[in-house]
Amino acid sequence: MKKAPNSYHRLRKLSSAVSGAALPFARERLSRLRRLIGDSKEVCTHFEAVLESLLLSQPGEIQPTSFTSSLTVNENMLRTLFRDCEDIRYRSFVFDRRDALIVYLDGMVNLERLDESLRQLLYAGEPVRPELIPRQILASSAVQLVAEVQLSLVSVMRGSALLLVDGLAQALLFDLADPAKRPVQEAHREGVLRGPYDAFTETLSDNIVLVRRRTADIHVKAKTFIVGDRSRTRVVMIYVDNLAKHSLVSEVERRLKKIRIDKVLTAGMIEEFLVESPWSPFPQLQDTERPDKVVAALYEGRVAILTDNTPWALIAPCNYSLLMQSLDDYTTPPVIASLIRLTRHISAFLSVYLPGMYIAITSYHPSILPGSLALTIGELRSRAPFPAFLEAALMEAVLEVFQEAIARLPQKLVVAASVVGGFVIGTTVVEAGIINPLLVVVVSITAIASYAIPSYSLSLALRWLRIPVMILASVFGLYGLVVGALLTLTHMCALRSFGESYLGEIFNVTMLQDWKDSLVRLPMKLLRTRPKVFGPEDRTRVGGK
Amino acid sequence: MRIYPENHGNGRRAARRLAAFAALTVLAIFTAGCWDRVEIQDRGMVKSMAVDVVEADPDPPATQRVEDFVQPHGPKQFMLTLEVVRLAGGQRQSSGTSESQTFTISSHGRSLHEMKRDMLGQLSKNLDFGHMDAVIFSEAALKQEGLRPLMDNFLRDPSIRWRMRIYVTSGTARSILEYKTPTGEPLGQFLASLMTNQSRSTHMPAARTDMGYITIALDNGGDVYLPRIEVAEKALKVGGGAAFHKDKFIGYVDEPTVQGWRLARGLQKAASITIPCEEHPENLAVMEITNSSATMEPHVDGDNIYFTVEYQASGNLAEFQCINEHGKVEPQDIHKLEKRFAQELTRSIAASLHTMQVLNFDPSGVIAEKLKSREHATWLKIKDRWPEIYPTIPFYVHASVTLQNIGEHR
Amino acid sequence: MASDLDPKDKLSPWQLTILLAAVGIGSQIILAPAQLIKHAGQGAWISVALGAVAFFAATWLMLKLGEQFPDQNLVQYFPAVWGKLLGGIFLAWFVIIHLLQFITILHGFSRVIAFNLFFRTPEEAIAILFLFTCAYGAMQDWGTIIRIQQFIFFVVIPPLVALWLVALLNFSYDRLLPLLPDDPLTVLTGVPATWNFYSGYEVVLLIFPLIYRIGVKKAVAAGAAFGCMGVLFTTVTVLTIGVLSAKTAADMIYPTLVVIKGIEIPGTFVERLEVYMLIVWIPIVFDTMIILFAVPARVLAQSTRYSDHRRWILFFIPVVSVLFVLLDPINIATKTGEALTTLGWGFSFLVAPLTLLAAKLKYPYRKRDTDADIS
Repeated sequence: MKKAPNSYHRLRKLSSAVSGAALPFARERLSRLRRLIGDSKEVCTHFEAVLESLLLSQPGEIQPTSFTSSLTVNENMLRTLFRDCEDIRYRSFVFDRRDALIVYLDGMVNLERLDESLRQLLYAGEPVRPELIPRQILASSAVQLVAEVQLSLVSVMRGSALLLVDGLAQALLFDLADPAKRPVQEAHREGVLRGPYDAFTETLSDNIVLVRRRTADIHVKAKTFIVGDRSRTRVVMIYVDNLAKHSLVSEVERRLKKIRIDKVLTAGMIEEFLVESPWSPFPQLQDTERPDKVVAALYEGRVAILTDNTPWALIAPCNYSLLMQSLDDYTTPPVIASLIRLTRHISAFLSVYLPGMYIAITSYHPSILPGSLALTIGELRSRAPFPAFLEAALMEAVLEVFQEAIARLPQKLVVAASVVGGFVIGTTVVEAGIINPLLVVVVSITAIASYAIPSYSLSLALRWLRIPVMILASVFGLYGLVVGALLTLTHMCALRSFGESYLGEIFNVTMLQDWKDSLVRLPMKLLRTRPKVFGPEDRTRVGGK
Repeated sequence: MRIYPENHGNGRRAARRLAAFAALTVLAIFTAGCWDRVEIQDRGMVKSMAVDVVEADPDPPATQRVEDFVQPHGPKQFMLTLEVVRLAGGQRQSSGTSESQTFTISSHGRSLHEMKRDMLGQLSKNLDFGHMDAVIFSEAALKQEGLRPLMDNFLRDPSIRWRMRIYVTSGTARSILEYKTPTGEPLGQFLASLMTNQSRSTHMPAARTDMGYITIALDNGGDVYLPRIEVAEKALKVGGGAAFHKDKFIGYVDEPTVQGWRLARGLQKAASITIPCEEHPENLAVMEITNSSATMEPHVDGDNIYFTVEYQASGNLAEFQCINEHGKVEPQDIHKLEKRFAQELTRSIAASLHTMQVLNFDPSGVIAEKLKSREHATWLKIKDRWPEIYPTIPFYVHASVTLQNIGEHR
Repeated sequence: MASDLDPKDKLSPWQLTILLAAVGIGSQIILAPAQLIKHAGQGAWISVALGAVAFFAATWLMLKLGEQFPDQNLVQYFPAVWGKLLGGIFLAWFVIIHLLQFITILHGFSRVIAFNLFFRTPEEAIAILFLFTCAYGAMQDWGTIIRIQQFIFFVVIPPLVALWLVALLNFSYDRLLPLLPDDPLTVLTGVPATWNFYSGYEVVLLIFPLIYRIGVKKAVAAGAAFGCMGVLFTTVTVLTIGVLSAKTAADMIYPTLVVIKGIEIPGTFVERLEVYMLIVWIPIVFDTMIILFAVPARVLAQSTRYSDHRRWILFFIPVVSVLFVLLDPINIATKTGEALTTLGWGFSFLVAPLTLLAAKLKYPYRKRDTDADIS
């Protein structure tokens, strides 16, 4: 575009002198420029998409890009793929008179072992041909040759060191992962009195080891799945292949493969994909942080699911009766264990129905109380300004808030919170006559009863159930309470965990053999068969197939 | 293999179903409302009730005028008094007053139910009869009206207890309700607990005389007897019984009659029997029966009907005032004592049965029922003439006694 | 091939026992004895015991009928045996029995609850809540329903029996004598009225193909159910008469409730046992009602080739509500009850045996699939 000549001092349209400066023309050029920019942006995003698909797609889904025999090309490709990943380290050196490059993720790799491996390679006397390293060098247990870029990238992200040698169209992967992790510690939620203390940690491999250490059975299988489109979390399904029902194993596998989620931070996120009725308040998979529980479950023909970065395992199928059992039941004498189990069932009942019973009896049917007791309760309630339902609902709400607060508080403040909650609310509210002492007793018993349930998720479910039961009781008294119980019962019977009724074998006459270890526990000698309810391939525990 | 229902697709449908269902249930609950919610502290718990006859007083006292109401139908005959619980909250202990736990309210009228409802005008609470333990009828009320019409209201109300106690007093029933119990408990509760002492005292006709048994007896055309209660100043006592022919009041029976009847019926496991000493009849020997059994059997011999009563008792010597002459109780005395106690028992039972026959009074229709169930053919024949036949039936009583212990001291 | 993770729809013979007993032991424990005792007097308990035998016979015939068509239920073979029209009429008969019984029981149930536990709460409010609860139960698959039945059976029947055993405290043998009432014929004529006690066994026609063909014979399982029911009902009637006397019991609206009301256990915390009895009774009625609701819905769903029975249940809710209101006046309700008993007898002792006869004539050489063949 030429500049307008200076000879023209009169102000005229630029276009009259320069044909290219005409407005329509300029506009057209501008729009072309914009289009170009847009196109290049689009190309850019396409590139990114391609890159992403390269990074994220599963092996086999699309043809993986292979390494070339030129180290420069390979390095450039890696640097592009890992751009902005500043924790990726590149180290060049000469190996067997050829250029070599080692790539690893800082912090995930055990550097001492990396140095050791390299030292062996470089000073092994007679140089080894790179292709033969996996076969000739044994120092590093996990060395493999890979051609696919895809696999190597994920491996690097998981803590492998990648060795590229000029002239070789493959890469060597050294598995040297040693990320920061927590050692195996005691269980936090599921304490037992007599029994092993170790519990799962966040590291998947350690967790599998914890299970493996407890049984030397080759039939215990561990299948790995990758879940999470972006996080690519490893999930391992553990089962005993000659015990677990085949349909159960394949169903778990099918549901695991079907999960569509971008990231998996804990097993809780995949749990809801695995269950039949995500709307139900009841936990439909058992969760445990105890490896011994997992092993026990495996030998009942159930399937355990371990998720990376989750210090607990999921076990399927699960039912109410199982959630009410604890390892301690098997370390205490059977009579005592049976009584303790009974206590737990009573606690479960109380934790759901006690506030409802309080409301129904004080507001609707005080006549079922003995005369003197009715008098005492009447006197306790005589100063209370609220109707029983409101009073109970208020107190329950306070309790929930309190529990939630304590669960979220730093350890050091819990004592302070307890003092405030216990003394201020407990004593003052009663003294002020806002809440009557009997209700405080009722709510406390309810809370304590819900703590007596071995499974935390089940006790949460029961806590939730209390609310509708209270509403029913406040409208229909004892009748409402019974209807609430019937609805709950129907729901629990209808709920299924991998095809098994959620009530388990409780009061099922076709599962009479399972009664020996459900509401009561008979001595070990008599527990010769596995629970029928999970349909194990081999029913007898000892001397079977 | 059947494809298992999917989580996602099915989940949404299940959610919709769940939501619809929850909505319906919630709707049902909220349209239901809470008609019958009455908090325990808002209930005026009635512990006992008294029924009297209103004395025709042309110029009634002011209180009575306030309690009264205008009644659309029928003459005013009865005065109903209720003993209602007073809920004191936490104040009773702190203030330390010995204020009674209950108070009474009254009304006058013809229908018990109407009076109960009228009394709501005297009270800030909702009357609740679910804890009513005792009803006291005055003799006058019973004379004016049979027992059944007075009880009718209780039989229709599901909240009334089937085992509620019914008493008869010769004075005014209201004065009993106003009696201040020595233990401080409400009178209804006091009377109900008192009746549990019946197993050790034969003087209270307490067994099978509660509302349930009376109803059954009346339905089957039997006679009824009820415990008698009297109060004077600071004394209250249950003892002896009021006899009803069907449901008509015929008079009182004294304690020995009640005791004899209870022994004959085998309703009494423990009782005390007294005999005069041989040498000094003014002194007594007393036996405490701890275990006994009685069988009453009808027999038919041609046209003759007779009953046998076989009574066996064992027990301890409770009191022996005859010691002075003879020294202490000697082994050879025991057999003699047993014999004399047996004679006394025979006499007591026979006398009681005789009194019953004289009154033509068959409590709960027991004797008729025995004949009906054991000798049905005879019963069918004489059923219509039973009131005439009953006083003539001979009772043959036989009693035997075993003295097991003479007590801690000889 | 059905996966073993599918909902389990099969039931074992012992589950059949529990199902029949659970359906039988229901509302009638409170609702029925008054009428029966009024009719048969002291001998009412003999009528009840005879009823067990009579209705076991009816069930046995139905099981025989099922054996003629081991893989089919009545919806499939009634039209085959009787033709479309007559078969349809009989199926409608079957459906009507269940629905009418549902409504009758709902009436009695809500009346008892409203009268004994409440004061002003209307029966309709109680009925509608119960209707929804039953509908929710009836919507489930057979496997779930069987689970509910078993749970209720094992949890609720023991306290019920315990309550009745405590009633022995007030029992008087003399009231039961003479064993035969003055007019023994009333005992026999009382038997038809006991249909209310045992009804519900008609369900075997529908679930026959679902019962395992191994293990105990179905007739034995059904016999156990009737034995169990017979013992319970006879005990209840004997105790009612022995505690209240036949005369008082006949004058009572709910005599069995009064029997329990009369129990007083001194020195214990528990009072007013009739409330506990009602609490135990609600689940017992519930497990009868879900069957009475589930059966017609399934019959209709299958005969209209509309595979989902749940829509029929949703359809029943307004139908039942309307009929509930229409049949509310006490004289209409009594008439309905009488008509229902006639219909029930007709179906059990006329339609079912005739169908068996017709089937035998029509398919004389059909290989009968009995329990013994397989086991």
